[in-house]
Amino acid sequence: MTAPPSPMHAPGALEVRDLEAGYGGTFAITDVDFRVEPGQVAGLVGPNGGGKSTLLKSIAGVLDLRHGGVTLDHRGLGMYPGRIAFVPQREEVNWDFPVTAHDVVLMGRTRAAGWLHRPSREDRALASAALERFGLGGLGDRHISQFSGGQQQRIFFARALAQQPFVVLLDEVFTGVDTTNRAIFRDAIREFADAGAIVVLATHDFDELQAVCDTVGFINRGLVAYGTLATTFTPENLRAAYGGQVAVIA
Amino acid sequence: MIAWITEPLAYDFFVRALLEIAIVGVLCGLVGCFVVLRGLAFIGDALSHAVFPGVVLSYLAGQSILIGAFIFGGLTALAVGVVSRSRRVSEDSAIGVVFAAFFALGVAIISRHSGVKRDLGSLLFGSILGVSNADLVATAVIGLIVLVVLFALLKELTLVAFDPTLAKSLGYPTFRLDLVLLMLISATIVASLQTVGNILILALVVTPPATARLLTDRLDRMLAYSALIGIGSGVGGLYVSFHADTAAGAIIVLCSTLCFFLALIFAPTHGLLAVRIQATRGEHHEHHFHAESEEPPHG
Repeated sequence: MTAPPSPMHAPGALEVRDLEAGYGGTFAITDVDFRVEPGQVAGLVGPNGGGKSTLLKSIAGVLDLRHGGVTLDHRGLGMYPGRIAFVPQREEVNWDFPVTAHDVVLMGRTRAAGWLHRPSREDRALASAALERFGLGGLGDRHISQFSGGQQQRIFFARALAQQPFVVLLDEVFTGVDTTNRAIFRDAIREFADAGAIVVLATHDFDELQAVCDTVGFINRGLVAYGTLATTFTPENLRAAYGGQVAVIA
Repeated sequence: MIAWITEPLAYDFFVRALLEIAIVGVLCGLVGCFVVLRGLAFIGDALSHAVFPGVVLSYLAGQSILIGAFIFGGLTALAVGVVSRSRRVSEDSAIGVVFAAFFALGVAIISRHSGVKRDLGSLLFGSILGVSNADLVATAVIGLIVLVVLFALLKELTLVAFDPTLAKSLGYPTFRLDLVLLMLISATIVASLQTVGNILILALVVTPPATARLLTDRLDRMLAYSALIGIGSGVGGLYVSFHADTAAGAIIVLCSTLCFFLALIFAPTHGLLAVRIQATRGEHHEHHFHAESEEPPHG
């Protein structure tokens, strides 16, 4: 009763039902069903080309679904404009674009600011606070190419935070990142979840998966298995998802 | 020197040309920033060629070339947008198909009308000194509409240009925003066509923003510099062409090219000289800022 409710607390569960999506024939996924509760972190693992990114992007609304649906509290995600945060892989963005770190974080507030309106003072304050949270306070007016890879990834995390998201979708955020930044991202993921947001993390990294996730889904052209980490992260499911591409060390 | 500036102002056609190129310089400079940032130079080139049949038809009908160009500009933008939606046809192929077809149509129409051939030069390379008051008003009105829309959607167009994935995840209609941008580029090219013509118009749309990008890392400044370079090279080029009695369109384009090469060599951080100086000092011009325990500098 004392603390005000977190602005990030998701209004209900994220449900993916009977989802089918993909680009042409490759990387397509079918028959995906799962559910993530507010405050939970779901990990998605599977072989390259198995469709982890495809699934993440179809939840984000970046890819059109061929079939099925994604809902938050039984309503389409379009009902929550700006509250779905997507942290892309670093290579997906043009780092020579003439914007500063603060500009990029402020882009997370674009939808909240609304058509025809410039971002408000509150929007700017949220962006600055988010940069500060990720150790980039005071560097907001630097051009984005002037940051290291780990820092660039942190700018994206700050942007997600500035969105005050109900759902945070993270695409391979631990890839090619040093130990310091790994710790920062792990803490950030836990903070999102503790604030009641739903986090879905696509990753190759089984250590990070076990460190931050509550549930795990194995993706290989579809959902091979889904459940809590303890019951589902098993050698059998790993073998089923990776089809012998991975050596399981018991 | 003062006479050099004031003498041409005695001619009404020169004053009209000056106003026309000033409007066009700002318009192309601003809209061109998005052409450059989105890598749409090829689309711009295609649009300027594809409106050619519109120009020819208007000329034959005795109307302002803006009318026909505007219709064909809209048609081209839509055709490219729709054709490239097919997964099997890449966007640049779609543009290639549409623009070559339209330009061919213009050539076919001309070949049937011997009277037009005489004025082919001014149709292809513009006739800024022949701008009428009506043309001037039309350019100003189209330009104003384009700039109002551009600045109203600046935040969204920037977002889509930098990170279309974020734009979609925020729930923006990115396909429609792309169409709006194509329409703005199309209208800009049409409104500016009479200054330098179909073939050279691309230079007004691409060269000033590319120059501005060398001078700054901030979008707002890039927009401002680009508009200034556009207007500066337009006005400067017009004067030089008047005194040197050389084709205005060509000199205007060469003036902005000169600005570009000056920036390419002398720009403060991105210029070739600056990069060279930093390299000899043993620095890398994209040095990182070590906020925390990022890999420390040598030591």
